Amino acid sequence: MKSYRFYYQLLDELRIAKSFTVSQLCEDIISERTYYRNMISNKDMRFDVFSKLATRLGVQPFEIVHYSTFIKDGDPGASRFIYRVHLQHFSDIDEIYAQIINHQDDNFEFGLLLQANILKYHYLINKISLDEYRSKLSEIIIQLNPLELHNPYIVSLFALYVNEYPMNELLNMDKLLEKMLELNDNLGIIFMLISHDLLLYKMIGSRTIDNILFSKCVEKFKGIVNYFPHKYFHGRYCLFAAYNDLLSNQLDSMETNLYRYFINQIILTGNQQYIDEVKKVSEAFQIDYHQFLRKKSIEYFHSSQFEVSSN
Amino acid sequence: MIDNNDVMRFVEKLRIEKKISIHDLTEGIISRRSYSRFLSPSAELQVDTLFKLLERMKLPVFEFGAYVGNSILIENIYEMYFYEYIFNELYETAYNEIYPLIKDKELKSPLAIKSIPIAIKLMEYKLNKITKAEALSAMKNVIELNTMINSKIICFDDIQALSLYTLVCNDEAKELISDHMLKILFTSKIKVFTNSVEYTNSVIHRIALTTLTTKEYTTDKDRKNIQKLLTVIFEYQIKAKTAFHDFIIFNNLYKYVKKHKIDNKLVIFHYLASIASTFGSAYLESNKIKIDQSDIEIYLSFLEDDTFLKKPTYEGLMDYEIL
Repeated sequence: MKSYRFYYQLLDELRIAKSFTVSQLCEDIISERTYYRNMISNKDMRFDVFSKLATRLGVQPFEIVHYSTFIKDGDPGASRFIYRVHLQHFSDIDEIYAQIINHQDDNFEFGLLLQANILKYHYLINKISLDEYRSKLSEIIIQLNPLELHNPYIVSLFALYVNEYPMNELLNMDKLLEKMLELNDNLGIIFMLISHDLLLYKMIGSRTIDNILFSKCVEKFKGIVNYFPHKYFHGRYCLFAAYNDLLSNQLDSMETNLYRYFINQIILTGNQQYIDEVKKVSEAFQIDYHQFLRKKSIEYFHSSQFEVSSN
Repeated sequence: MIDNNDVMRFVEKLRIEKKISIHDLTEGIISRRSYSRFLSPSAELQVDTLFKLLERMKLPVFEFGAYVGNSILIENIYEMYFYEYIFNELYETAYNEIYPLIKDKELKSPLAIKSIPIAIKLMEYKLNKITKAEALSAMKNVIELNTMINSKIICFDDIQALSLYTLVCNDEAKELISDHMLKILFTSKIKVFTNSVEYTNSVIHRIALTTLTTKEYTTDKDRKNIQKLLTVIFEYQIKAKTAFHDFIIFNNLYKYVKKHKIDNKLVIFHYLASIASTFGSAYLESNKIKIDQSDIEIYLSFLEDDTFLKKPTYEGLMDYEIL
């Protein structure tokens, strides 16, 4: 673990980069002498002093920690890799893959999650078969305790497993989702988002769906998505909300959400992934895709939200 | 500012969630009594003690930092809403509905130091509570543009503040800002200090494009920079696949191609698609958008073209010189 002095030195690097003198930085917080002494001694420092100095430099204290971990030290990109694998978006994956393939993470559970995503990636690019992926994923899951579901990495690993084996005896999909509803999402928020997305998408078109549970999970997903400006996840929320509307027979709202989802898909995906999703979703909603797009587009752009001129 | 009390209440919350007793957490680090004292607002918490407690909870400092950051963000979400309302130019709504919730309160979100103070001045000016000169003068003091562009590092809050400042500043300031943004994008001379690299990069793209396309006079140099910038923006959006701010990017481009009578159907399609796909934007819900009937025809023709629909993101836009 890095000592506080490491972060203190980083604070000083930030001071220099922002052209602050020590005097400007320390004024009314600590003496310049104490500032210099802290730089070289092992004397501990008060958190509120560190926070005040960081704030004067225009950052929050934990932004310095994040910066040191992911930017300064050269983040191998493990989280980015997991994100790309989830989206099945591989345009820049080679570079990230080369960085993470031999990465040993200090956190055991995160290391396993990375390993599971590497396996999923190998399956998606046809390097291993689906059976091989499932079998190796099962070997990882055996190492976990389903009772430790307050850890976001363990939740994510189970989400990958349940996606392959929804009715497994260890922890079935409904039980995992019920547990995820109770969790505090602020820890590992991106992994919670990915896990919800994976499982909700799995439920689209399923014959054994628990409507109430699905509805609660969509609400939870919406709560997390609100803090992420990622358009992909906003589009997926529209899909889940549309399916929720379908289950509760709210057809107008369903069409609005579904239309927004399809346009997101057109913008964000392409190739086989686009074709597969359109097929699955059109079947689940029992619609003619092209007819639906045309009808909803005309309705949408002739709504009161727009002022259409004939030029 | 995040203080001792903020940090310790999150340590305590995690301790309870992880079902660790105070004894197990503090043994060999601090006394139980000291731990209880740390939970009171006036206690002085040492950084080293905090790190030891986190280590005992098997929680890396960066994970705890992200947890505190997310929690503070959610607790102070009205600051973010206020910023978003001002960014979407909904000054009345921001003033009546959100401003009372943040006024006279200590600001704590990641936008607390510069962006929210700038947003308040912008709102006051737009609601005729202060003059433009007063607003600009107050904004200049907060933003310190000359210091910012001479610095070797730029922070998230600086960037978000610039994003608002570009809505009112003059062409001279726009030139300085666009040059600085291009320097960040095309040289390695300036570091970007942020928790969210991909999102922040997209804000830099947005500022650069807005400053270049909304200047009163567009020079040849500007046109070349816009073209160069668009390649970077689309390559980046394809790589990150987030389509951050696509509405703002295509809104700028749409106005630009219309103003300069440039025939570019893909820009028209993507502008309309960015509107139709945008989720929950206050701007779209509160502002009537002007489009031409011919734009709708272009949009529909692309939606009927199966080959186009199966193409990867923005591929068409990358095929040729856009402007």
